[in-house]
Amino acid sequence: MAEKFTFRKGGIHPDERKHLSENAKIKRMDAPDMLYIAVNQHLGAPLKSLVKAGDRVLKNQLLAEGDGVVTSKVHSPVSGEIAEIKQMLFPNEVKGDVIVIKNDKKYEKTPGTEEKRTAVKKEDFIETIKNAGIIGMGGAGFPTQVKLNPPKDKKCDIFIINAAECEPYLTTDSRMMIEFTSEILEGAKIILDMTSINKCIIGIEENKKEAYDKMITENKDQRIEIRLLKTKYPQGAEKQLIYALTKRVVPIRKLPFDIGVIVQNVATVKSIYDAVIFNKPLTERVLTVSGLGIKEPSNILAPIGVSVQDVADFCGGLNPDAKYMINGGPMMGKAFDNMMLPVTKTTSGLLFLTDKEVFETEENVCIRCSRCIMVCPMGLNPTFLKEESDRRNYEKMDDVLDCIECGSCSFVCPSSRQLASSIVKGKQKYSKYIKRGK
Amino acid sequence: MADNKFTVRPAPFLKKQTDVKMIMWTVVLALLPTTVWAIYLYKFNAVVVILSTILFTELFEMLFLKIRGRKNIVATAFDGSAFITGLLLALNLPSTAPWWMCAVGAFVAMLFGKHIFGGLGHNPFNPALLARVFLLLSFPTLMTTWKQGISLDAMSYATPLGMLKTEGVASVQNLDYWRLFAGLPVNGVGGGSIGEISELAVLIGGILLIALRVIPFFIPLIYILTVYGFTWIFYASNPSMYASPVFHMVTGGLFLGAFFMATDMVTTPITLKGKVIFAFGCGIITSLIRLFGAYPEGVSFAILIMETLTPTIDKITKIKKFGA
Repeated sequence: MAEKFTFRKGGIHPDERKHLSENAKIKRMDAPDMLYIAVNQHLGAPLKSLVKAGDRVLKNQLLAEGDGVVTSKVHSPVSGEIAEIKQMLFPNEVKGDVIVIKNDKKYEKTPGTEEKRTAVKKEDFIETIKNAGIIGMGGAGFPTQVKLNPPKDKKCDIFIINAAECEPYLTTDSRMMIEFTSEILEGAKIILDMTSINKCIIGIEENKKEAYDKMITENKDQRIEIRLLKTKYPQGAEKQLIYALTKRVVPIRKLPFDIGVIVQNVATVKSIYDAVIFNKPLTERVLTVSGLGIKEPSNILAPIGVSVQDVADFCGGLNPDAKYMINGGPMMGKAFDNMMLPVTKTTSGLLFLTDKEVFETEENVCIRCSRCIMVCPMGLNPTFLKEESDRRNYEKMDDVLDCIECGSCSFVCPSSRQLASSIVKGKQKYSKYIKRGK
Repeated sequence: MADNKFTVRPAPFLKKQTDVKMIMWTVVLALLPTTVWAIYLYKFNAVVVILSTILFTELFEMLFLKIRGRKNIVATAFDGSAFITGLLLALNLPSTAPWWMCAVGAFVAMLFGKHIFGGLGHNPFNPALLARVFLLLSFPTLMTTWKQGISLDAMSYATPLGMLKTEGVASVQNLDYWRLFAGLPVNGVGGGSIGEISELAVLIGGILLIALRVIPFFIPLIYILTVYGFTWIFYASNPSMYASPVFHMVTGGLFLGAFFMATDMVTTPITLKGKVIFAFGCGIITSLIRLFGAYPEGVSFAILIMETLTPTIDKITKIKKFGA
């Protein structure tokens, strides 16, 4: 048996509940009549729309771009007409610009896209990623070309593919590794070829044994090492994963490239492969649709911009007892009450949960049991930070900036205190406070 | 379709199902061996002490909740925390304690031990311990009238620790430590508080709590080992003057304190290092009082003294951040 890796500090073992969808083959969802493309799906400076209502666009046509370094691009998944650009609710922001496209079902492509092409030159690699609008698809949405191009003084020697998928319910990465094995391995090779890094480690949690076996069997590249991780949440958190696989510790307030590591998610690597080999921009993604609230839990390949409503219909519709709709996983995802929410590049899952799955109790007083401290993977004192955050005691809450928002503290709290949510709010308040001060 | 009304709430949506109630009632369960043994030894007397203490504690809990204008009074009063206080206090009383003294103890525990500070989670001292010490200082005779093991004759006897304090080490040298550990009656020796007689019974419950991860193993371990080590130093230097460390293990409230009071979540440090310091401090102070203090037993005082230091210990023991 292969050695199993994991992180050391804290962590929890929530019910995995991946059985609902782990064996469901990825189904392609055709684009519906209307698509809602959020302009700002990435983390960084806002983009500007290049189209206006009435314009005809082709499939893969650039819809929005921006300036600056931390920026990205957005493309059209279909050909059709721009119906309107309107303010709409979408997962990353409270409200933002959304380009509404009326699909003409002709799927007329922008010339040159989605065609196999001769190898991209090393110096064009970063530009290719940028032009394909690739961002971190695990959930953070950080522009991939920025991550793959660290500052000159940061010498990176390890490239990690994050295939931990530690969030319960989600089976996106797992299915992709089973069904797109060679594409992902090719993607890893491309990244090694195009950068100066010579080593790639793929970390897969042991509850995805099928994916692990498939990847091990198909991998022929000596530079790529596939490792099994002991299932523990939040293994997929960047700093925890890096430690689990390399024993390197990302210092407080530093980034992975400071210790020579670059991490990319499985889906992101597949998108890099598509962009480099086929000149295909990021306009579709695999996502898990699961929970007891949906009739057919599935893994689907959907165009970016489909609404949650369309996705739910595609998966057989909702059960009457669906009570929570969550964008993302059950630990870090966000609840919404509006099904007109568009799927974005960072939507790794949509969950429809019922009362049977969500344990709802009233918040009680802290009995200082210290369970939150024991499980915090960052070594913080969540109960203290919650209280200081709630009363905006800026002098004492600097540690909130180190919170990775994994929710382990709230998960274990016997008094059902919403520690993580208070600390996340505290983090936003404190960041604003610091900015004001400067 | 899509008439679903979704509930919006913050993440995470999954939750471990252990709640405060479960933790509290598990502690009560873990005190069962001790309770059963007390009733076996002292029969009706123990039943009266235990029932009246718990009853009064619950009544005062409800009364103070009412005065504080709380809702769900009955549900809150039976979250297990007041029950533990009542049971722990009862186990810290002699079998001869009159019902009214139990009531006074319950009143002190609930008012000065708990509600005056804002109730569960806010009290700086373990309510049962505070009440015990209050009763010890207020009714010293009643609190130290120990009956021997099973026999219910009118005679009262000193506890082994009491004998050690007043008559010196020779008086306790020949006692059967195994019988003391198991809580079996020993001729001419009083048992002490009804919950302190059998270290074995306390240990069974303590191991249950450790196995169920309600308490960390190292607090009782460090506490007990510190007492062992500290008393051993003196015993080794002068055995004719100081009792054996094993004697200190099997007598008094050391085990009950180490497993059930020094591990009280509310009143002890929250950090790992803090818990270690706390347990060590309890061990040192207990030993000092037993060896050199005016009182034969020091567990209650030791834990209360360390509890006053809890906020300070929490402040000075910084948790190491990942990456710091």
